[in-house]
Amino acid sequence: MRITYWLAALAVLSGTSSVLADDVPQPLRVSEVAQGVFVHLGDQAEANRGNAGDIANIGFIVGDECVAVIDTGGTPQIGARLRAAISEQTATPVCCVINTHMHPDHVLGNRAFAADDTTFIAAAGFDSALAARSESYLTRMPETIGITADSSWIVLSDRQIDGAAKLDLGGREVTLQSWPTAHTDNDLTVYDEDTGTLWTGDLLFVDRVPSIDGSITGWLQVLDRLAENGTVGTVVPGHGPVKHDLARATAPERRYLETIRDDVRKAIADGYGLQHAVQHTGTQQRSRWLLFDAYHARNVTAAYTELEWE
Amino acid sequence: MGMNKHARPCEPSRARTRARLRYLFITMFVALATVAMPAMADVQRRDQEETVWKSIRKAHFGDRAIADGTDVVSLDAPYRAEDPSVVPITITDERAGNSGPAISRLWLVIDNNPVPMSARFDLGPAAASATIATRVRVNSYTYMRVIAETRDDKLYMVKRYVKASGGCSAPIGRDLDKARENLGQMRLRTVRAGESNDKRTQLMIRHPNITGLQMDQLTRLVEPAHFVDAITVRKGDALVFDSTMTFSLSANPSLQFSVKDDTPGDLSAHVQDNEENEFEQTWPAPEAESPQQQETTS
Repeated sequence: MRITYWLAALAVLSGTSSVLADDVPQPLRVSEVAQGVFVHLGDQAEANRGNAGDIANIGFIVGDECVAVIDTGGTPQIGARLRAAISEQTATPVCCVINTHMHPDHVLGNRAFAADDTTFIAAAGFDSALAARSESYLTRMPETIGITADSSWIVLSDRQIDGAAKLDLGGREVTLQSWPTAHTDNDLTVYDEDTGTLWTGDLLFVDRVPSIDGSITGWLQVLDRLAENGTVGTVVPGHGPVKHDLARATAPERRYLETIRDDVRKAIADGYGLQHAVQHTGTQQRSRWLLFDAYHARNVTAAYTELEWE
Repeated sequence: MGMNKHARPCEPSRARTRARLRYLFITMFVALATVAMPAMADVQRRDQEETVWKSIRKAHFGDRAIADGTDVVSLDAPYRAEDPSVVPITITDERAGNSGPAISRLWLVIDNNPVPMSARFDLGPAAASATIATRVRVNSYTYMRVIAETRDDKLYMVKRYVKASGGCSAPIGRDLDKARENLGQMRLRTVRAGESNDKRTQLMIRHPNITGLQMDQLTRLVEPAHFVDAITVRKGDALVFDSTMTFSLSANPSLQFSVKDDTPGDLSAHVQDNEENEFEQTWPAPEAESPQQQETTS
């Protein structure tokens, strides 16, 4: 019994040291949610020292000639650990990194793939959105996760998608689709035709409260359009567990956004100001979401300043 | 939207090398800025802000005495602001309806903003009170102050500490294109005064209110400052208020104020920005008060 403890302790220690060493990253835990589709689930929390910025769902799709990475995590270290996880699964080279939008928890691991002959793909608005925010993203890192970030963490796109595009990974085709302003102004989804797997990026939050950095009305419209694809089986959200029914998976988020939209419209029509709306809108949704207090008031502010000009 | 059909995903790109090189220059800026901003404890920040205030005080008010203004004016702002680029604040006239000398002028100071003296309001005879609500940007943890001058030439001050950061250098809003397209478009609404059934008038102005601190790191260009710097509101011929301000006001500036009901005439607003654009609009006096939005087409 005692020996088992020691062995366990040793395993933990060696695991920790390999996390710390840049050259030997410990592979991220991934699970194969559909044939050749691997997902690593991020921590359902704010980025902090404990999770070291590993809070977004990231992963990859393996074709015969090509691995496509979908988002790279919140630091180069997480990106490197994703790379290590990929090489555990396949010898096929990574040739594409697809970024679903410009938020730091999804893209600051890009650097780990930049040395390869990799094409970085994102929606048309991605580069300008990331460039405009990168200063504040990098400055925040020491405070949130205790790691000093530098400009090499920012890797912009090589190829921009405006509308729909297909990627051939060798015997396997994935469809990329950019969307009008919704969660952000550069949302991109990835659909794997073979397995019917849809990667929504942050167009879908499961359990964790959504954050509006684009347009509340735009987001609801995009949710309607996502639902038009009737062949979706597996759904990989930007945050939260993998789901298998698109309509059911999006229902809580839709309800949350509709509640804010309707409450804020009513507050505006009734002559209530921003402060009142922030205090009274959608509070009944509080118990349904993780991190509600961290994002809700800001969501209402974003909704109010959008809807007051309707 | 364009269709990129069956493009090869995995061909190497030369464009990227160029983009990265260009980016290196840009981010050197960032690195410098980051190093130059050591984290400070709250206490140190507050002390430092008193230093900022002392120089502002000297520049704007000289040796005039400034008394505690608790009974004259109050400042309502969230202690921890959710969105540093849209921090709602209310300056409430505590003299309204009292017998004391009325407030004739207000200054709003945000100590740690790039231009701390953020706004000045001169109240006119058509103002029912000096109460003003607006939305501001807060660049870092800061004291926010309101200095009120009363008709007997006395000065009073109240202050509040606000925790928010990044409001002035926050990325240009998602609505920038829309704001530019509709530059100077105005709306007038009747809104509630806080939680009460009292009414206030809200003037909304479409304007990106660019601070000049918002760097587009792709082009390495700082978007030049472009903001509303003067707003005058009248009821008929009578002044409600005359005001000057900086980019401390949020994008799409919003001002709430109180107009004397018995002042005859239409309400009009004259707005000017730092690029000498002028916008003017008049709203016919409403038949009956209702919290409905009035929009003109002029």
